[in-house]
Amino acid sequence: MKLSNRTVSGVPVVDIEGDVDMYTSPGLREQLARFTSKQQKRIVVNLEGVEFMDSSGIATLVQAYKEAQPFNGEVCLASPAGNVLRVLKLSNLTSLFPVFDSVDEAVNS
Amino acid sequence: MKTRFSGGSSVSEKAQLGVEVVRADHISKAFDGRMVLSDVSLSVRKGETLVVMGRSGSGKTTCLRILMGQETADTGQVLLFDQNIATLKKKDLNGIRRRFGVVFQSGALLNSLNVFENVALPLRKLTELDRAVIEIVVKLKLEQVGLRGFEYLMPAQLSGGMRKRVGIARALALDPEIIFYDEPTSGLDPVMTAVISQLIREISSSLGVASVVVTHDMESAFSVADQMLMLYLGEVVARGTPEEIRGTDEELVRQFVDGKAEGPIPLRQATTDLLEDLLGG
Ligand SMILES: Nc1ncnc2c1ncn2[C@@H]1O[C@H](COP(=O)(O)OP(=O)(O)O)[C@@H](O)[C@H]1O
Ligand SMILES: [Mg+2]
Repeated sequence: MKLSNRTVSGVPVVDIEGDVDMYTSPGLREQLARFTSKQQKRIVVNLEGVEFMDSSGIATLVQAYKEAQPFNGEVCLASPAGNVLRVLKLSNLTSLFPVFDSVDEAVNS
Repeated sequence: MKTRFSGGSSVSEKAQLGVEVVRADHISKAFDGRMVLSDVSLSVRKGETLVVMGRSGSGKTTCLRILMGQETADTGQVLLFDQNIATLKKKDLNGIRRRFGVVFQSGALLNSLNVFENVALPLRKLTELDRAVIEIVVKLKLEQVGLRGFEYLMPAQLSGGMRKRVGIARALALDPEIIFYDEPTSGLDPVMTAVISQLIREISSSLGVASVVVTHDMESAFSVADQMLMLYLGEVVARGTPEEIRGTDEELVRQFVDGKAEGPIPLRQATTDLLEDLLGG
């Protein structure tokens, strides 16, 4: 998995390329924690390049959500693949994360 | 493309998608010169559930242990994810071990740890995930088996069915692609048996894992199986879909499936003569 981040119109965006699994989730966790600790109101996780996400990836997103709660921040998901959405739905977690078709939409909504 | 989460729910979909993840070719095993498995071959695809049934002592657990690499076959070979487990280097074998989960007959919970810690154990041991993330994963797994809210009970405080479910949650902790179950419903009442069977089906269809279920419980066997295989004295005496097994007129299978005492399966099956045993030196 490759992680990179950028800022689009002032909103931090994490681009993920590859699988989010038990091996790679810790890296994502670190990156997201960096943003939540700065109390970023909106964080966009770009999942366009992610075909597979396991429970640890889901848990990592949930943890970011928890950390953003105290300052009313949101963790937005951009272009999650069918697979990833399915896993979120299975765990009944879709309501936690606003989902957008693209990074632009997530940033500008 | 990875499809670990796209296991279909219909049989035809499974047939199309499933890559073979477990394969045994002609495995045999003897203990102290006595054959307990003879020439057993089997294959399980992703999203599919194979039930290995047979009376106690027929070699089911031995077969499972060989498939998992806990025991080695005398002859024949086992492939997990297309790799021969007998010839793998330790590092590669550990990599493969993470990809399957085991539900032991007894539950095999650590009595000194509560439910939460039992399920968290593989995550703590084998991953670099931090506490907060592990806590969420454990809760997701406990939710899956219907035990969220019971995190802080100790194993001694659990019913038999709860123990089995904690064992299943622990087997699911690392998101395995294969789950091996040894007698998952033994010792349970009919209602709890049905609950566990349903859980096995759900895990198979929603997560697309391959399952090998060893059982002598016919009701549960028919309710979870896509494919069935019957062992008798270590030999495969029948195999097929549940419909095929139900419809067979092979006496040995009929007797077992119908649970009758009368039939070709003898009440006594010692391979040595009683008198010889009593009188012999
Ligand atoms: N480690 C062992 N040493 C000697 N005999 C064994 C060992 N493991 C199993 N057996 C024997 O092999 C036969 C099959 O056992 P097992 O695979 O446990 O059957 P099942 O699970 O169908 O009840 C039994 O007769 C058992 O006593
Ligand atoms: Mg057994």
